[in-house]
Amino acid sequence: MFPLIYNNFLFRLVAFFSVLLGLYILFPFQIVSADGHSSNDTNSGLNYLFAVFFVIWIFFFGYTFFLTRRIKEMKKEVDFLKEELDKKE
Amino acid sequence: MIRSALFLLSFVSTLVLIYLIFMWVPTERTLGISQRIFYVHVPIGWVGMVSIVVVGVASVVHLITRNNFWDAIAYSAAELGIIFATLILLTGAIWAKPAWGVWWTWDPKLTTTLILWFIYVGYLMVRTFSQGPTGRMYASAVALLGAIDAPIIYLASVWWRSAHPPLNIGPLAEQEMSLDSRMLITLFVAIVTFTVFYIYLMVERFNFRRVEDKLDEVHQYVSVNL
Repeated sequence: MFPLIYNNFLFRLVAFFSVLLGLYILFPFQIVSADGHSSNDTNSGLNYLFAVFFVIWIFFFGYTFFLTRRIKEMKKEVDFLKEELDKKE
Repeated sequence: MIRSALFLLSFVSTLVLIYLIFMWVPTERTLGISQRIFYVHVPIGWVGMVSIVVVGVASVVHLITRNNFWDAIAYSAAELGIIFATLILLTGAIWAKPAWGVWWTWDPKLTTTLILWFIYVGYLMVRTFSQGPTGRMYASAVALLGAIDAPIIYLASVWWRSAHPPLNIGPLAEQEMSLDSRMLITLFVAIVTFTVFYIYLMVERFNFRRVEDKLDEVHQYVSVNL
């Protein structure tokens, strides 16, 4: 039962982050036009803002990767249990 | 149905939030564009603190009832909590550099947040290395320490002299420090967005944890009885 649930869950998570990542790639080019800040102004902190968003996405992708790996382990465990039960029967 | 609704809501509100942060909210005069970190740093901090309270409350109920349902909630919240606590520290450090000129300082708010991070790590370490009901009990005790730390973090800039900005929102916020209305709206949307996203992740992780628990039970049954 659970492969269906979690494949669906992962698909949704990956789709969610992919769309957001795409939007993030598009939007920073327009940050500066919102209220006239120059993109060449290194003191404006654009690099730091980029770093913060980069770190956040890395963590959420990392967590998704961790869950994917855990689901694979669970599938192996279920297969092992099935084999054990087949042997006993 | 609830999961799909939460996913959809967090997706739409994230799109709105990205628009507000990058296109709509005005740039702060002193800090410049780096001030926009505020709209992700504060909600992440909020979710990180809510998470440890969830871990603490669920742990207490688990200690009283011994029902693994509550333990699964506590564990899921702790796992998400450590992600958000790490993000609080990292986003805070990145923002501190342009704002204060240093990546880190032993400010009360930063130090108590670092303690929260260690409490999350402690909780998960106890859970990892001490299996069974005893491990769960010890972990619950660690979680209670974290629940005590959460209000201390919130009040740190009130109780002690701090380089960290004073409270902008909540019952103890200083009136004269109130934000511009557009900044306040963006912050409010950011808090709602991260809260909904957190609830969505909690529901998914909780269901996953329940399956893990069931699988462990089957594994034990097979190894003992067959």
